[in-house]
Amino acid sequence: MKILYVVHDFFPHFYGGTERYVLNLSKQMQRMGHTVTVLTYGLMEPIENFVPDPGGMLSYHYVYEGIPVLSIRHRTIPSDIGFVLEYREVIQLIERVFMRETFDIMHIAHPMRIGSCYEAAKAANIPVVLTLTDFWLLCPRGRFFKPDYSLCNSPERGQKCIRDCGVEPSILKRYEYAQKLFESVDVLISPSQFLIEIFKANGWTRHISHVQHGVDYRYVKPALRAREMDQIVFSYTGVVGKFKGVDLLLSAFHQVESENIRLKIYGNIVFEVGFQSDLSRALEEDKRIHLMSRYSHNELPRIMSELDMVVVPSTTLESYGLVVIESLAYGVPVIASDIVGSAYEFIEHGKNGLIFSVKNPSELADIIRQISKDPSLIQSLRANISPPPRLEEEAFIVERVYKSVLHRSQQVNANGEL
Amino acid sequence: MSQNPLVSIIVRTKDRPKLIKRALQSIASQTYRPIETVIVNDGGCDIDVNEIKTILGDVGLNYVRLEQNTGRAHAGNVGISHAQGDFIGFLDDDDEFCPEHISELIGFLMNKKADYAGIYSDSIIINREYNSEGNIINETDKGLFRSWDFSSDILLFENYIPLHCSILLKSDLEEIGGFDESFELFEDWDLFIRITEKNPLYHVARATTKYIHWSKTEQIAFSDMPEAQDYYLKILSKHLKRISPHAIYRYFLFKQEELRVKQSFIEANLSQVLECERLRDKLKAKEDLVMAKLETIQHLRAEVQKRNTALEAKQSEVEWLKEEIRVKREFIKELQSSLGWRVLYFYRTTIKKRLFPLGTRRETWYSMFLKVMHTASIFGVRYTMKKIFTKTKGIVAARKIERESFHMPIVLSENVPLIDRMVSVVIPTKNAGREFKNTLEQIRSQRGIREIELIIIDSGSNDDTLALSKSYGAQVMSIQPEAFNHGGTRNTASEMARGDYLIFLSQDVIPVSKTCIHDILGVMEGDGKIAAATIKQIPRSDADLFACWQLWNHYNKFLCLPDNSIVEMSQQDLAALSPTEKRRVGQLDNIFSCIRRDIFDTFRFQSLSYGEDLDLGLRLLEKGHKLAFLFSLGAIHSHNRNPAYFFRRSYIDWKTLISLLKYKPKAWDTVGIPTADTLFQYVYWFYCKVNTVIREYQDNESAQSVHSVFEGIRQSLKDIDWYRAQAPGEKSIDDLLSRIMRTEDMRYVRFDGSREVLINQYLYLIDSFEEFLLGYADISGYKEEFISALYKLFAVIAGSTIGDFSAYAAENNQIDGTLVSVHDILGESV
Repeated sequence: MKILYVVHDFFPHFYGGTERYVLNLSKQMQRMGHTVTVLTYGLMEPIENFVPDPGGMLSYHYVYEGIPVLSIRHRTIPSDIGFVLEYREVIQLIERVFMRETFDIMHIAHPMRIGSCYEAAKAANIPVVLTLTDFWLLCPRGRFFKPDYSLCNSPERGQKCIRDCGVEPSILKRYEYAQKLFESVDVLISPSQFLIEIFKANGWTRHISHVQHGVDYRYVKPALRAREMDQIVFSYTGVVGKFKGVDLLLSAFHQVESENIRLKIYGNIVFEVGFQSDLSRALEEDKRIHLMSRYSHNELPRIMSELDMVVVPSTTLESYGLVVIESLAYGVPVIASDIVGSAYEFIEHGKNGLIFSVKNPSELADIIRQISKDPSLIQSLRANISPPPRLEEEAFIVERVYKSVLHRSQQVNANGEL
Repeated sequence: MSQNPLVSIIVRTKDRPKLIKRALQSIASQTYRPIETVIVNDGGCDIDVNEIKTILGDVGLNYVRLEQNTGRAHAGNVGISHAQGDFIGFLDDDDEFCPEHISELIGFLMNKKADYAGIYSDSIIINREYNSEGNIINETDKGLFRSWDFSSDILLFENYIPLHCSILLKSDLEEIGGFDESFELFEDWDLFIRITEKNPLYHVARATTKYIHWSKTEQIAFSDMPEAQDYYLKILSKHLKRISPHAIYRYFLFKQEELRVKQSFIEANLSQVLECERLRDKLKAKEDLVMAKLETIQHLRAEVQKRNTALEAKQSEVEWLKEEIRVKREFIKELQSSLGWRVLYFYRTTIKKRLFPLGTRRETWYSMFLKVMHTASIFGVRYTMKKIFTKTKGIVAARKIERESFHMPIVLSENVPLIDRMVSVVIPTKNAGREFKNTLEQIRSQRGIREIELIIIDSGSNDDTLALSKSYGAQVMSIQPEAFNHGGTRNTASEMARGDYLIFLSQDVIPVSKTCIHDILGVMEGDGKIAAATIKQIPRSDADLFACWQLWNHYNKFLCLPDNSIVEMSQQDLAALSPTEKRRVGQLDNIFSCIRRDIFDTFRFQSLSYGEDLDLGLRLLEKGHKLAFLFSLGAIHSHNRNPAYFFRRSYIDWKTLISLLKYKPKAWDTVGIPTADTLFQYVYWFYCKVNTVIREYQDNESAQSVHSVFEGIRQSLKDIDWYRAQAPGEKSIDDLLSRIMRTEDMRYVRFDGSREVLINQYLYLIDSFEEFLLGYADISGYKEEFISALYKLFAVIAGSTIGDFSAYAAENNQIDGTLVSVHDILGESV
């Protein structure tokens, strides 16, 4: 099979969860004998690397870790590139690509910037699979939160976005296109049941197949902590920002007056108004909190061996949370908020992890306090951790999805069930 | 006294008629006048006085010839007695004055003669080479000779005043009686000591004379004379009274200072000397490097030359081929214009096309008829009929394979209807490692089955396999390691099982999804004739290129089965199948296989070391049971092993397949490999070829597409001549082959192209590997894995080749000690 993966960003400039998902899946598909190509938008790629495309856009071919990548971009990147779904010039460029090269499947991992290329696939009779990795189709901010960081329960077809978030009225047209994309693709996949429920709650009731993300166990080594439990190390790993609930974590940690706990924060800090100063103040006032640097995936075995618990304190909707399954793969228990998708599927509160409500932030402080007083809880949580799914499983199931879509005699009903 | 007093220069000479001329010329060149030269020939050969006069010019000459040699001191006194001037200077016949010597010294002495006994200047030491005619051929300025101010104390211990540098008063000389004629040596030193008893000598610190050093053999060097010590002591004895403690102390200080100066000079120059040495060493190192580079350049030039020669040869070959093509084209043209061709062409394009249209059954039968006629013409009618009969049987039988393929819906929910059955999962283990937990966890997480029991049969684990198994509620039994056997051990374990179905699993297999077992049973429960089922292996995320390719090749190139299929056939039909087709239909896989308990109790595995799963599959089919190949279901399983493993595995596998499936081994004697030793030599030689190809690929650093890499490899395999092929290469294969090759000499046998048995097989695998790798845009990031894979491909070919030969030898009663020992080596546990 020749598979075209479509993702809004890709390595080497972007290395977040969705990008890792596409890279891991691509590589495993290669191992299974398929030919893959990644189509992405070159937001950060130096323009001198690109060559002009007949349609006025730019394109650049490169190879990343054996994966061929086609990066495209506008000559002048539109200011609304993170908002608008439909770009005719993108569709036309991909149509030209399909004239030169055939694919059996298009798999969209994120529709931002280039999602409208599905129209080119449909025109070329190429089946399209869409993985919903977040809520971006429903919410331009991706995570259902307002400017004041309070949660939004529904976009109301875009009306609430205009009212509460000050978004342009073109959001209405965007919403329609998003829904059209949602209805037009051949198969929809979601890594979490949580995300499926949110979409259903908003009236997007088309069948979405639940295929959990898998961990690449190649890098996982048992997190054997040889040190004494005199210091309990909590950790946050990921993008350091307010929308990820890091401020909540800092506040909760600060409330626990215990000398036997430490908090290590790993990751890149994103710019958010007021957040940098809050973070600096927290670091200054509480010497138990350490800001570590950005980490690469190769360093995870070492990092995990130095932690006791990972906290995923997201205060905005987290569709999945790869960090949850990665931590569990290393045998590190997780404390997660109740709006993290994977938490529902892998954490049983009190048995192999802990969940707190975002509506009651003091619960997090209570949990930290409880653990600081009784560190043996960590061991009991650890003992009940089951290994999360593997990347190979996810890839095999996705391959079956592709084959089912391609199976011409298979009756795919209007709901898109396989 | 006149304004310019007469100065007499006394020249003592003996047998140096050529040298004296230079000395006299230097006198004649003096800027001072009047001068008189008193030449005292001390018993030497005659000199040409007229010539002397010519040389001296206006300088007066007083030539005194002594009939016998009387010694330097007496000659000097003779000169003093004949001198007319009030001032006397001396010049040896081999030294020279600078032009201003006399004028410089006399000017001072005339004013200060009352205070000084005389005056002396400095001398430059000149190293000079003369030819036989007395001409100067080389001259080097060696610096000043001891420019010391006068000290009577120092003079008592060292003669530091060259006689020819001095000008003395005649009256003083006469007063002291001239030279002491008892001194044959150091007579001038003694003279200076006596003449400075009352007044010192004045030192002019300017070099106005030349002290010529010209021959070690002819020139008298006082320090070399054996009697120098005696005359030195004579000086000291004669003037002992003048040697006071003060003088001794003064001399001591003087020498100390001289030494200090010399030491400072040495130290000052030492760093420069060391730097010079360092630079010299560095220069030497650079020179060595340059030499090495030159050698490399020579070597590369030779290589370029060689390649140019090869290129020229290829170009000649190309030209020759072009000519051949041209000739052949002309021949074809001629042929095509012939009547016979036109008739044939008309027949093929018109009549045949109408009678036997392409793609029709008539055409197929016609083509087969032609093939039969061709075979019969070569091999005879009897052979042809036999072949027709066998093939027909096989084709008819293959058509009778009932293969029902179906689509299995994906179950993405763990909430599946319960299958009211018990399943016994049997896992043979030995040091299963830390990943075994994942296997056990996944088994225990299976949904939709009433009960799953876990049975572990362990053959000697010394890690925590047993403890881990028990923690997952497994029944554990242990056997001795030497008792392990793939078939027999599984049979033993099954005796403990209580399930309605048996699932045989390898210890490092992880089933995909928590409904894997449920889905298998779902199919088997739906058709009671399905006796056994097997699922697909999926490569792990850490699988190397070869492991990924192996699985891909197995499912896509060998089995070529649809995703899900059920196979059923009769015994007769099964027997008529070719060995390859039998393998395709019967290949149960004990990596993950599921068998009905009642069926298993009847059939059970044979106690085979390998192939027990294929054997059972075939026996089940023979008895009319169905087999299910459910490749929509998967189990994660792959290994990265070294090439030697595949060498051994391929040997064992092939021998097993020959035995089980009745493959016919090659007739090795007909391809020029009659003995085992010849085969091993051939395999080793082919290994050298492959190794050289791989090295050439390794040396090529430029980025290339997958296709161009493989094209290069294919071309290299064809181009590498027997003398370029070399080992060693990959360590595990080197070690294995060194054990197989009985003697060192066997490694050096080379084969020509007529016995290219292995290369085609290798190219076949290369083609498949390339097809797999076309999915990778760029393998430069996988170079190590790629190179390892090339070695593993060789290992697969080599192992199966030796296995095939072994089977051939067994058929022909040619098993010898060599093959037995190789079997032991290759049969070591895989």
